[in-house]
Amino acid sequence: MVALGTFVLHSFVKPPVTAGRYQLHGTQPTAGITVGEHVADVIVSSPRYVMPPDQILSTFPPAMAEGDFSGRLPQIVLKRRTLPWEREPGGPPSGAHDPPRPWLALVVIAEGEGALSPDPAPVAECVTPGEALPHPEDADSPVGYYLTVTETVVKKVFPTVEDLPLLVHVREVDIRDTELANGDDDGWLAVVLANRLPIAVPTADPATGQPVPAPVRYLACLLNLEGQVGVLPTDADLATDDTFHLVAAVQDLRLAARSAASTDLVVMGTGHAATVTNAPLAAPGAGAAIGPSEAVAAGAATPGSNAAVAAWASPKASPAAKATATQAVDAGVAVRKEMAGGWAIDVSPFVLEKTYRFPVLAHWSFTATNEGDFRSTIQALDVGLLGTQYGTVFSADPNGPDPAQKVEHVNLPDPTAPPRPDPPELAETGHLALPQTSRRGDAATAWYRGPFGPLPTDRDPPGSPLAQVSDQLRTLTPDGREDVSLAAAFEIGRLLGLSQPALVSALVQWRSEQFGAARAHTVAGVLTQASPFTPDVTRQGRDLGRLVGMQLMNLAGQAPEAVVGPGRPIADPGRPIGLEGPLDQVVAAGLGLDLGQLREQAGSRGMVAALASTDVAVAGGQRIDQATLAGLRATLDDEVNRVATAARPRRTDPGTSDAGPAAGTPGTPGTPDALDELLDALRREEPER
Amino acid sequence: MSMTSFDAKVALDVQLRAAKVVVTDFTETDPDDGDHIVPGVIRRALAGLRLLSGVPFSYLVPDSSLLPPESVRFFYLDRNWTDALVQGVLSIGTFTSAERIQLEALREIIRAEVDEAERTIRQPGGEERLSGPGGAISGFVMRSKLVSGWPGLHVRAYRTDRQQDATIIPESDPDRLKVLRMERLAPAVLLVLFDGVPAVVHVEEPRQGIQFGALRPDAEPFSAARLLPLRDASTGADLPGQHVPVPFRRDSAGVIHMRELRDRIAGAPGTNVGGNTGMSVDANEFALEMLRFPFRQVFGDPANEPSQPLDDVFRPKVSFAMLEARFRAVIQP
Repeated sequence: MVALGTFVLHSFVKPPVTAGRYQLHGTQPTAGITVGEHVADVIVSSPRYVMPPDQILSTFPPAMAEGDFSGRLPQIVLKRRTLPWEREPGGPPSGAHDPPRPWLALVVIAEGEGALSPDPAPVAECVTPGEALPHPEDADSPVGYYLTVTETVVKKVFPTVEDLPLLVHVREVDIRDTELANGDDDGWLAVVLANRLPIAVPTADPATGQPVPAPVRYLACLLNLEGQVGVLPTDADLATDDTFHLVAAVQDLRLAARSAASTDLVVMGTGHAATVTNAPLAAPGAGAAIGPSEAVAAGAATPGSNAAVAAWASPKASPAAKATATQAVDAGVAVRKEMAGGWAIDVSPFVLEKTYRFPVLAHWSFTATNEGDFRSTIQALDVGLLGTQYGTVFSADPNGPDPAQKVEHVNLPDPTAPPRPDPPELAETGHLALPQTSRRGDAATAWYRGPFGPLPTDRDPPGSPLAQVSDQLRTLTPDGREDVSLAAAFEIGRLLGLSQPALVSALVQWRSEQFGAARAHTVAGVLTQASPFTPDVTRQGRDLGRLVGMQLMNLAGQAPEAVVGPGRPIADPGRPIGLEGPLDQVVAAGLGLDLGQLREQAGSRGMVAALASTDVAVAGGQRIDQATLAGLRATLDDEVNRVATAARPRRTDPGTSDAGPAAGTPGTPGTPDALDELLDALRREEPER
Repeated sequence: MSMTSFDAKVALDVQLRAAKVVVTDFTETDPDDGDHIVPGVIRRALAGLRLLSGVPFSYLVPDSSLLPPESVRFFYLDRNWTDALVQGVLSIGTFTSAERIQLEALREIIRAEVDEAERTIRQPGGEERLSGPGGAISGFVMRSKLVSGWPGLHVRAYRTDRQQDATIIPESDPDRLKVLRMERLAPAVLLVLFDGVPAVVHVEEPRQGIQFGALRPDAEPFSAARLLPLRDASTGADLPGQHVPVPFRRDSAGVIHMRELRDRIAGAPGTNVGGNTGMSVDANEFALEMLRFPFRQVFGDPANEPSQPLDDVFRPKVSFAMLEARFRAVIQP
């Protein structure tokens, strides 16, 4: 970045590749393996017929401006530094040491010197008929504007082939103290200059006869010179003078167009004289300094400059242009038409010399008078504190002691200017009395002052009360009227806040989090009044529920019977078993016995003997023999042993023989059950380690 | 205290007491911004509002007679007005007494932290980050064709008048005031807010829009000749008394004969032009010669006369050394 308040000038910044189609070939040389070649098509694009508006930073003179530009070259500032060199313009070969030739040129033509296409035309028609740009498929827009000029104008006004690199350069500026500072601009800018000083020409004041400046309208066009560099003049062709001609236009086609009521008359060289005398604004004797102009149309040897000057005796744009502008619906189109007003001439039917067409990427018009540059404009600013009706200006004071001397004086309104509406009542403090309808419906006036005042104000100290509704900020002034300034500020602030749902939700969420943390503090303090207790209120640990839960547990632990209630009975009653019918029937049915037969035998031998002699009903009717039974038993013992060995607690200390039941297992030491016996047996079996 | 006495009255009391508490260790940490109690999104939105972003223009300038065409109006910012604006935002979503009491408790922290955030809204690259308590804010509104015609005006404000200084001091210098906001509100209306009350304000022609041209004799408004004062292209210094008449193309209106002008510049002694490319004068050297000073308008007390002419303050320079090698690489492969 360049130093504060400085800038650096560079001759050119050439991009590594120009716009066009490229093919990228990639190979991977690998020993032993063949890797296929990678081919990619690459299109490098760049504006060609239309300059995107975001690439244009500024123009000088400003579009539609009026002012003294006669000492300054018009220019256009482009945001991409490489833009002027992104295409190959062609033309005669340049020397080995010559800088690269840009494809853009800024050409300034006066009203009447050329014609701008009234409507966008297909891009193929934007170049001189018969010519064609290389790679027609490379078009950034299907339509574009074009400029039609005669060979005379090209030779007299257009830059020479050798001038082109000289008229384009790159600037690197420091943008930190400008409004561009917070954007994504880097301060690198390409500047395209014109080669023509926009001059205003003198004309005779009808009242005094003194020469006064007559405004001249100019059109600045950023042209694409691709393929047509050859038609530009070269340095060798041109003669030079130390002064220029004070003429508005080197060639005025409007005059020819006006006289060409019928193109036949022009072509045949008749009929022009009468039309020229009929020219409505012709003002003979417009000053000796005015030089002759070129005769453009066949035989139309009229002093074209006279008419051109006279046409501008009224500094307003032509009524025709205004009419076009009002008819157009689109504002952009309206502005374009207005700007192109003086250049909308159809030249081809009556101009006999060769004409050329150039694509126009951007164009704007301005009016050259002899006053109104930056310096005079800023010095003529009305300076004052907000709330002053008439500020001061730095200019010649017509009522001062020396009307020629520039001094600072009160900027009183021009008595000849149309009267402005009366300003509303204004207080010294900057308060303005604005009409107000009170809540009861009465029409009244109320004082209002925005955030800007002519006097410094004291800010309320930090502890001052906070307004919750706007009515709290309404005040009554000593004159009995209401001052609604702060109330209005409150309301617009509330509305602006509500217009951003993200802000509203952030605000509500933050306050509830703050409140949650504060409540956790307070509740914790209340719960543990005795012991000072600092809860963890960081974002992670500010959970009030957890905090309260812990406190509750502590308190409950101290007096469980008060908090928790009566204890649980040690044992619950068992579930009742439902029996249907007499018990002996149920048992007999369950065991598959014949109850009647059993009773019969019990009657003779007794129940025990009867049961002993009754075979148990076996499913399938097979009996297990003793050998199978012994095998099953052995298997079962093994399995029990295996499970018990796995489940047995390992003896950690060989000294203690009895570690008791597994630690942590809730159990009551009582009579040993079968499992305990088993474990004891295992313990005994285990060899001492 | 027993749990049985924890009834609704106590609960309400706890809520109200909690509302008055600000938990100061409940902070948001931003690596770029430091620790703050007020979350960054709220702080920045409120600071933006303090600098009046988004406020309708009719609230700022309620009547067009306060800002006539082609005028500049300086002002002091009414802090109470912007505080009321912020209070309006804060009032959103406060329905209960507890919420309002809580807002009362938070207001001083919000005020202090938003004061600090005001300076972080506009941070041009390369400038130091400034912080401190909120102070007076002043500024100006300019309604002029200057704003639309010369986009990117340079605006600088100084606490003390340092006209003698040719170098431009950074915003962190105690003599210079930080620009808090600079924005075009409309194509021709520029709003600038300064962090303090300046003694002088400089408004300068934009540098990327600096123009090129030649001088017309002041006394002759219709002179058809132009003079070009020359500079030494190696240092940028003026060559006093040296100038060449600007050549024009014969029979054309105001079109400069560039070739002849180039030759005249190259032929004049002491200009030190040419030699980097094949041309007698390079594009940037030509630009340097044709450069006209950006004009700097100083607004301030008329008694503070500049001790040096402003032309001395601005001295253009072209540094070739760093670019020469690159040029050669490009044009002589």
